[in-house]
Amino acid sequence: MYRDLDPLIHSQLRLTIMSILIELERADFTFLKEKTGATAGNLSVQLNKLKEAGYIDIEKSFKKNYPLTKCIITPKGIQKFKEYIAALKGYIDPGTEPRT
Amino acid sequence: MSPKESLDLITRTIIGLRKNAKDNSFYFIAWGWIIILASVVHFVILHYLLMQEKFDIISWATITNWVSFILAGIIIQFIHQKRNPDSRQQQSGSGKFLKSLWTASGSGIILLVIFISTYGINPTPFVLIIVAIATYTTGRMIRFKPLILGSIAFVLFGALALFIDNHYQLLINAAAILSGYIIPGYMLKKTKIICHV
Repeated sequence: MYRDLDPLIHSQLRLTIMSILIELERADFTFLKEKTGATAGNLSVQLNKLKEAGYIDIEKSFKKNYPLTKCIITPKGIQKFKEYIAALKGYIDPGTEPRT
Repeated sequence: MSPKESLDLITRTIIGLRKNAKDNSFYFIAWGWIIILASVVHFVILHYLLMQEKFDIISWATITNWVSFILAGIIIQFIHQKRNPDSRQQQSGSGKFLKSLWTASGSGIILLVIFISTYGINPTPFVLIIVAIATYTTGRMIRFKPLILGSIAFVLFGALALFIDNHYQLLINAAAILSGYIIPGYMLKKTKIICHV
Protein backbone atom coordinates (compact mmCIF):
# COMPACT_ATOMS: atom_id res chain seq x y z
CA MET A 1 0.00 0.00 0.00
CA TYR A 2 1.61 3.27 -1.14
CA ARG A 3 0.82 6.48 0.69
CA ASP A 4 1.81 9.95 -0.45
CA LEU A 5 4.99 11.19 1.22
CA ASP A 6 4.48 14.49 3.03
CA PRO A 7 6.16 16.96 0.64
CA LEU A 8 7.01 19.27 3.53
CA ILE A 9 9.12 16.59 5.23
CA HIS A 10 10.30 14.89 2.03
CA SER A 11 13.19 17.23 1.31
CA GLN A 12 16.75 16.54 2.37
CA LEU A 13 17.26 19.56 4.61
CA ARG A 14 13.81 19.57 6.21
CA LEU A 15 13.99 15.80 6.74
CA THR A 16 17.35 16.19 8.50
CA ILE A 17 15.92 18.97 10.69
CA MET A 18 12.91 16.86 11.62
CA SER A 19 15.13 13.81 12.31
CA ILE A 20 17.27 15.84 14.70
CA LEU A 21 14.24 17.30 16.47
CA ILE A 22 12.40 13.96 16.71
CA GLU A 23 15.44 12.63 18.58
CA LEU A 24 16.37 15.65 20.70
CA GLU A 25 12.96 17.39 20.93
CA ARG A 26 14.67 20.77 20.83
CA ALA A 27 17.84 22.23 19.36
CA ASP A 28 19.17 25.69 18.73
CA PHE A 29 19.83 27.28 15.35
CA THR A 30 23.62 26.99 15.59
CA PHE A 31 23.43 23.26 16.37
CA LEU A 32 21.05 22.64 13.46
CA LYS A 33 23.29 24.63 11.12
CA GLU A 34 26.31 22.59 12.18
CA LYS A 35 24.54 19.23 11.90
CA THR A 36 22.84 19.96 8.58
CA GLY A 37 25.72 21.85 6.94
CA ALA A 38 23.18 24.32 5.56
CA THR A 39 23.74 28.04 5.13
CA ALA A 40 22.10 30.29 7.70
CA GLY A 41 19.75 31.75 5.10
CA ASN A 42 18.58 28.43 3.69
CA LEU A 43 18.16 26.92 7.16
CA SER A 44 16.12 29.93 8.25
CA VAL A 45 13.79 29.59 5.25
CA GLN A 46 13.24 25.86 5.85
CA LEU A 47 12.61 26.35 9.57
CA ASN A 48 9.99 28.98 8.79
CA LYS A 49 8.23 26.59 6.42
CA LEU A 50 8.12 23.95 9.14
CA LYS A 51 6.91 26.52 11.63
CA GLU A 52 4.14 27.79 9.36
CA ALA A 53 2.92 24.21 8.96
CA GLY A 54 2.89 23.80 12.74
CA TYR A 55 5.53 21.07 12.78
CA ILE A 56 7.92 23.06 14.95
CA ASP A 57 7.89 26.06 17.26
CA ILE A 58 10.62 28.66 17.20
CA GLU A 59 11.59 30.57 20.33
CA LYS A 60 13.77 33.62 20.01
CA SER A 61 15.67 35.08 22.94
CA PHE A 62 18.96 36.71 23.75
CA LYS A 63 22.00 35.30 25.50
CA LYS A 64 24.65 37.83 26.46
CA ASN A 65 23.32 40.23 23.80
CA TYR A 66 23.49 37.56 21.09
CA PRO A 67 20.27 36.30 19.51
CA LEU A 68 19.41 32.73 20.43
CA THR A 69 16.92 30.78 18.35
CA LYS A 70 15.57 27.50 19.67
CA CYS A 71 13.52 25.06 17.60
CA ILE A 72 11.14 22.66 19.30
CA ILE A 73 9.19 19.91 17.59
CA THR A 74 5.43 20.08 18.20
CA PRO A 75 3.04 17.17 18.82
CA LYS A 76 1.74 17.74 15.28
CA GLY A 77 5.31 17.54 13.97
CA ILE A 78 5.89 14.28 15.83
CA GLN A 79 2.69 12.81 14.44
CA LYS A 80 3.47 13.93 10.90
CA PHE A 81 6.99 12.46 11.15
CA LYS A 82 5.59 9.13 12.33
CA GLU A 83 3.15 9.15 9.42
CA TYR A 84 6.04 9.91 7.06
CA ILE A 85 8.04 6.95 8.41
CA ALA A 86 5.02 4.69 8.09
CA ALA A 87 4.54 5.81 4.49
CA LEU A 88 8.26 5.21 3.75
CA LYS A 89 7.99 1.67 5.07
CA GLY A 90 5.12 1.11 2.67
CA TYR A 91 7.45 1.89 -0.23
CA ILE A 92 10.39 -0.13 1.06
CA ASP A 93 8.32 -3.16 2.02
CA PRO A 94 5.11 -2.98 -0.04
CA GLY A 95 3.78 -6.12 1.62
CA THR A 96 3.57 -4.33 4.95
CA GLU A 97 0.51 -2.25 5.73
CA PRO A 98 1.82 1.04 7.12
CA ARG A 99 0.71 1.77 10.67
CA THR A 100 0.75 5.14 12.41
CA MET B 1 15.30 11.41 -2.81
CA SER B 2 14.06 7.86 -3.00
CA PRO B 3 12.20 6.39 0.04
CA LYS B 4 15.27 4.28 0.88
CA GLU B 5 17.52 7.34 0.72
CA SER B 6 15.10 9.14 3.04
CA LEU B 7 15.19 6.29 5.55
CA ASP B 8 18.98 6.13 5.34
CA LEU B 9 19.19 9.86 5.98
CA ILE B 10 16.96 9.59 9.04
CA THR B 11 18.92 6.62 10.38
CA ARG B 12 22.32 8.29 9.82
CA THR B 13 21.16 11.48 11.52
CA ILE B 14 19.75 9.71 14.55
CA ILE B 15 22.71 7.33 14.84
CA GLY B 16 24.99 10.34 14.97
CA LEU B 17 22.96 11.81 17.80
CA ARG B 18 22.47 8.55 19.70
CA LYS B 19 26.16 7.67 19.57
CA ASN B 20 26.49 10.34 22.21
CA ALA B 21 23.92 8.61 24.36
CA LYS B 22 25.79 5.30 23.97
CA ASP B 23 28.92 6.99 25.32
CA ASN B 24 27.15 7.07 28.68
CA SER B 25 27.61 3.30 28.88
CA PHE B 26 31.25 3.75 29.91
CA TYR B 27 30.30 5.57 33.10
CA PHE B 28 27.73 2.99 34.17
CA ILE B 29 30.12 0.11 33.51
CA ALA B 30 33.23 1.71 35.03
CA TRP B 31 31.57 3.10 38.14
CA GLY B 32 29.44 -0.01 38.46
CA TRP B 33 32.47 -2.29 38.74
CA ILE B 34 34.29 0.15 41.03
CA ILE B 35 31.38 0.28 43.46
CA ILE B 36 30.84 -3.49 43.33
CA LEU B 37 34.52 -4.11 44.09
CA ALA B 38 34.51 -1.50 46.85
CA SER B 39 31.38 -3.08 48.39
CA VAL B 40 32.76 -6.62 48.25
CA VAL B 41 36.17 -5.60 49.61
CA HIS B 42 34.43 -3.61 52.36
CA PHE B 43 32.33 -6.67 53.23
CA VAL B 44 35.40 -8.92 53.38
CA ILE B 45 37.33 -6.41 55.50
CA LEU B 46 34.39 -5.96 57.91
CA HIS B 47 33.79 -9.70 58.14
CA TYR B 48 37.47 -10.35 58.94
CA LEU B 49 37.81 -7.48 61.41
CA LEU B 50 34.60 -8.42 63.22
CA MET B 51 35.75 -12.03 63.50
CA GLN B 52 39.12 -10.89 64.80
CA GLU B 53 37.37 -8.38 67.09
CA LYS B 54 39.58 -5.57 65.82
CA PHE B 55 36.87 -2.96 66.28
CA ASP B 56 39.22 0.00 66.65
CA ILE B 57 40.41 -0.05 63.04
CA ILE B 58 37.03 -0.68 61.36
CA SER B 59 36.35 3.03 60.64
CA TRP B 60 39.85 3.61 59.30
CA ALA B 61 39.69 0.53 57.07
CA THR B 62 36.22 1.46 55.78
CA ILE B 63 37.17 5.02 54.88
CA THR B 64 40.45 3.93 53.26
CA ASN B 65 38.64 1.33 51.18
CA TRP B 66 36.01 3.68 49.79
CA VAL B 67 38.30 6.68 49.32
CA SER B 68 40.77 4.47 47.40
CA PHE B 69 38.14 3.07 45.06
CA ILE B 70 36.46 6.44 44.48
CA LEU B 71 39.79 8.09 43.75
CA ALA B 72 40.56 5.29 41.30
CA GLY B 73 37.18 5.92 39.67
CA ILE B 74 37.82 9.64 39.35
CA ILE B 75 41.21 8.98 37.76
CA ILE B 76 39.73 6.45 35.31
CA GLN B 77 36.94 8.89 34.42
CA PHE B 78 39.42 11.73 33.94
CA ILE B 79 41.57 9.62 31.60
CA HIS B 80 38.49 8.52 29.64
CA GLN B 81 37.29 12.10 29.23
CA LYS B 82 40.72 13.26 28.08
CA ARG B 83 40.72 10.57 25.40
CA ASN B 84 37.08 11.16 24.45
CA PRO B 85 36.23 14.86 24.65
CA ASP B 86 32.53 15.58 25.18
CA SER B 87 30.59 15.64 21.97
CA ARG B 88 28.01 18.14 20.81
CA GLN B 89 25.36 16.32 22.82
CA GLN B 90 25.79 19.19 25.25
CA GLN B 91 24.49 21.53 22.61
CA SER B 92 21.02 20.11 23.09
CA GLY B 93 21.17 20.69 26.83
CA SER B 94 20.62 17.07 27.78
CA GLY B 95 24.33 16.38 28.14
CA LYS B 96 24.79 19.33 30.47
CA PHE B 97 21.75 18.30 32.47
CA LEU B 98 22.97 14.72 32.92
CA LYS B 99 26.40 15.91 34.02
CA SER B 100 24.78 18.18 36.62
CA LEU B 101 22.43 15.41 37.71
CA TRP B 102 25.20 12.91 38.39
CA THR B 103 27.50 15.50 39.97
CA ALA B 104 24.71 16.50 42.35
CA SER B 105 23.75 12.88 43.04
CA GLY B 106 27.34 11.82 43.69
CA SER B 107 27.93 14.78 45.99
CA GLY B 108 24.66 14.09 47.78
CA ILE B 109 25.58 10.44 48.29
CA ILE B 110 28.97 11.33 49.79
CA LEU B 111 27.38 13.84 52.18
CA LEU B 112 24.59 11.41 53.06
CA VAL B 113 27.06 8.64 53.86
CA ILE B 114 29.13 10.96 56.06
CA PHE B 115 26.13 12.37 57.97
CA ILE B 116 24.20 9.11 58.43
CA SER B 117 27.26 7.04 59.34
CA THR B 118 27.99 9.37 62.26
CA TYR B 119 24.71 8.13 63.78
CA GLY B 120 25.72 4.51 63.28
CA ILE B 121 23.02 3.99 60.62
CA ASN B 122 23.95 2.03 57.52
CA PRO B 123 23.36 4.36 54.55
CA THR B 124 22.83 1.64 51.89
CA PRO B 125 19.01 1.93 51.55
CA PHE B 126 19.14 5.71 51.26
CA VAL B 127 22.04 5.72 48.81
CA LEU B 128 20.21 3.26 46.57
CA ILE B 129 17.14 5.53 46.49
CA ILE B 130 19.25 8.49 45.33
CA VAL B 131 20.91 6.31 42.70
CA ALA B 132 17.47 5.07 41.61
CA ILE B 133 16.29 8.63 40.99
CA ALA B 134 19.37 9.56 38.97
CA THR B 135 19.30 6.31 36.97
CA TYR B 136 15.58 6.67 36.20
CA THR B 137 16.06 10.26 35.03
CA THR B 138 18.98 9.25 32.83
CA GLY B 139 17.02 6.35 31.37
CA ARG B 140 14.15 8.67 30.50
CA MET B 141 16.39 11.32 28.97
CA ILE B 142 18.29 8.96 26.69
CA ARG B 143 15.16 6.82 26.17
CA PHE B 144 16.73 3.57 27.25
CA LYS B 145 14.30 1.24 29.03
CA PRO B 146 16.85 -1.10 30.69
CA LEU B 147 18.10 1.87 32.73
CA ILE B 148 14.56 2.63 33.83
CA LEU B 149 14.18 -1.01 34.86
CA GLY B 150 17.57 -0.73 36.59
CA SER B 151 16.23 2.15 38.67
CA ILE B 152 13.35 -0.07 39.81
CA ALA B 153 15.93 -2.69 40.81
CA PHE B 154 17.67 -0.06 42.95
CA VAL B 155 14.43 0.74 44.75
CA LEU B 156 13.69 -2.95 45.39
CA PHE B 157 17.20 -3.69 46.66
CA GLY B 158 17.05 -0.53 48.76
CA ALA B 159 13.87 -1.80 50.39
CA LEU B 160 15.45 -5.25 50.89
CA ALA B 161 18.49 -3.66 52.55
CA LEU B 162 16.23 -2.38 55.34
CA PHE B 163 15.63 -5.98 56.46
CA ILE B 164 19.20 -7.25 56.19
CA ASP B 165 21.84 -7.26 58.94
CA ASN B 166 24.30 -4.43 58.74
CA HIS B 167 27.42 -5.53 56.89
CA TYR B 168 25.48 -7.92 54.63
CA GLN B 169 23.87 -4.80 53.18
CA LEU B 170 27.11 -4.36 51.28
CA LEU B 171 26.32 -7.50 49.30
CA ILE B 172 22.84 -6.07 48.63
CA ASN B 173 24.59 -2.93 47.39
CA ALA B 174 26.77 -5.00 45.03
CA ALA B 175 23.74 -6.91 43.71
CA ALA B 176 21.85 -3.64 43.19
CA ILE B 177 24.73 -2.12 41.23
CA LEU B 178 24.97 -5.27 39.09
CA SER B 179 21.26 -5.06 38.26
CA GLY B 180 20.94 -1.30 37.92
CA TYR B 181 24.29 -0.25 36.42
CA ILE B 182 26.32 -3.13 35.02
CA ILE B 183 23.65 -5.01 33.09
CA PRO B 184 22.00 -1.89 31.58
CA GLY B 185 25.49 -0.46 30.95
CA TYR B 186 26.57 -3.43 28.84
CA MET B 187 23.21 -3.47 27.09
CA LEU B 188 23.62 0.21 26.25
CA LYS B 189 27.13 -0.42 24.96
CA LYS B 190 25.96 -3.23 22.69
CA THR B 191 22.65 -1.79 21.61
CA LYS B 192 22.08 -1.41 17.91
CA ILE B 193 20.77 2.00 17.04
CA ILE B 194 17.26 1.68 15.63
CA CYS B 195 15.04 4.49 14.51
CA HIS B 196 12.37 4.40 17.24
CA VAL B 197 9.50 6.32 15.74
